[in-house]
Amino acid sequence: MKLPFDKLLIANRGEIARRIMHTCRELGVKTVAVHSDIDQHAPFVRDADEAVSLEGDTAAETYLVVEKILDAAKKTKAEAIHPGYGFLSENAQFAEAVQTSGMTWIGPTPGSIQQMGSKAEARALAEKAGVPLVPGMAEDGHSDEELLNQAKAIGFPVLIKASAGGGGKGMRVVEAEAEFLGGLQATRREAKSSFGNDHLIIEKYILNPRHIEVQVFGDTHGGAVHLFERECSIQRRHQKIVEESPSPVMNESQREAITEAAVRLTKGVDYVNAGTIEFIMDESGDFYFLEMNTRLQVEHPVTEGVTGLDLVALQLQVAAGYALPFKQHELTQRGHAIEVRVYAEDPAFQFAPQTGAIDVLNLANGPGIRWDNGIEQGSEVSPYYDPMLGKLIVYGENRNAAIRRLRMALSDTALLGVQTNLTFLKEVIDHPAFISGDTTTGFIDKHFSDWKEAEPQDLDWLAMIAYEAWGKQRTTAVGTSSEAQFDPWHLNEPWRNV
Amino acid sequence: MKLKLAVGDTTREVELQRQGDKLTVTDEHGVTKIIQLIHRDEHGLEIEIDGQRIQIFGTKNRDQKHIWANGQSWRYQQIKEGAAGGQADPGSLSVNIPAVVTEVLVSEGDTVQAGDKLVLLESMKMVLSIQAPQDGTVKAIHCEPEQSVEPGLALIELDTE
Repeated sequence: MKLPFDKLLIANRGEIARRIMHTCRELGVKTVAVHSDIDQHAPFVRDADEAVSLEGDTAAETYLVVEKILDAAKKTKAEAIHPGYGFLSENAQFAEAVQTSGMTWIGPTPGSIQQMGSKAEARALAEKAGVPLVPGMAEDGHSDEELLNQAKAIGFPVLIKASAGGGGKGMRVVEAEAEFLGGLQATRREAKSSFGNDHLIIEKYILNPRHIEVQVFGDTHGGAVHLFERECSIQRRHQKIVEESPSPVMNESQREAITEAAVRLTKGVDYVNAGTIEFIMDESGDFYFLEMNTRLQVEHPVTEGVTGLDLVALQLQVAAGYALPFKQHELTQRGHAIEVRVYAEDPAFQFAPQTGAIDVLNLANGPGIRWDNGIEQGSEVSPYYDPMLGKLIVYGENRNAAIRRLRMALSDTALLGVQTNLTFLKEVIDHPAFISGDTTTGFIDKHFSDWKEAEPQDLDWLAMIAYEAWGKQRTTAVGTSSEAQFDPWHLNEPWRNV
Repeated sequence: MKLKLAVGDTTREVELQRQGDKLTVTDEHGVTKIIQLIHRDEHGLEIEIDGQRIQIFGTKNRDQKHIWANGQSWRYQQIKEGAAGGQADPGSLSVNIPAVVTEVLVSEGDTVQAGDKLVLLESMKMVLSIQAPQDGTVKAIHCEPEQSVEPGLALIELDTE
């Protein structure tokens, strides 16, 4: 297979830039990194064949500037652009500008990005494709009596929410019919005073929901397949931290229903390249459309684990105009894969992001263990970008084997200098509710809301004492890195004497 | 020699006796353990306690100590008796990350007490403060509101006695 581009620019940074470059090296495609000033010595820049500085530090003056990235592509004669995830990956204007400049855009059409970027349009398209939506209705001109009838038709509990609301504000769960009209009035008053708009939406309230998503792929020849589901219910601050495939609870008929729905939508919108359709699933296994992400996802390695495919390679092939190299029935979901996201953060303090230097990095290794990292020993974690340091992905012949492997890999990994969530992640995957597959989006709030690090045991104290006695003081020879450790939440420490 | 370490709010105080590669540790209850040093390099140690080998990775500088041992990492501090807060020499005060000054709370010549807030800054959408490490007098102010400041730049100079 010959790709029509010899050089690809990655409009991203960190682990995903390295991940994409890895596949490019395998396929013989040259790579161009673009980087901010602070990232100039980052591993992803060195991994690339060429690098162009975007001059500046913040994302807004570097990775988000369409003009700078297009200039870098022109300067290096790049013939394709991969946007990774985040930054400009779901920016239809950027995708369009890349194509207009005569380059290959590794992603869906600008039209698809636009469609799915609009919540209302995405819902309408899902409905048209016969994909279930959370049952509900907007009050638009309906009387309170009609709304009550609607609520009864949906079945209690129902959620009353302000259409102008968000982030959990202006929402009320009504458990029974008798409370409905009172709840309606109260929510309307709150909506009016909080948002200046009292328009309401009545919706089915999903108890103990799970977050299930389906990886899909479309090609330019009308082909569309799904690559099975991922369950990503374990979230903190609405961000996924543990993802797995298969879902620990889904049975074959549920899997068939949800993946068929996903493929229907993919085909219905002539979707090309990698996409993810997110659903919410209730306790009875009924699922409802949430949104479609028109990019490669952070958690794509989980799907790679169980399918044995390279999703970035597929993206490049499809973008080059080739048909998907397999049929749906040729794909299998084998074994079990789990990913955890490793963050520089303090789980005991509202997951506040941490900055500092990575003085020691000793990653667990072995069969079925994969690290997708943006860091190395000596890296500096800056406050400018997302504090995700990397992802640990394990594969096992079944879920228990994967959990066992993950427990070992998390224990064996030493990442020192900056505070991380490694210990927290280990306790999450060791929790009986996780092991039994009782994973819902409320998992962290329910089981870990007041989490504190365990107290050291005798042997741990002795290790600290030994290190205090014999451990070598880290010098400041590598810049000011070890001196510059900074804990943004510890107000006594954000400065030093000079 | 006495040694007191803290992990969060938990502390442990021991009596140490060091003879070359051998460390005798006696805790508050009089229990004694002998730690044998097997190997050490810039990233950590290997020790032996009661015949059991333990690998330790670690990093430490003046006020941050972070080790990995027994499959878990620990951030700890050494508590020095009599040294309040453990802050070293006073003098010029600076931030460690780029920030924007929001408010200067003192003027030159002001007398301040340890812990007094001197300057408020904002970084990563968070409000930070520079506090006086010791009692003293504000000798010079090198910043003003809305100024972007770089790490290491002296913002305040303090005279301490």
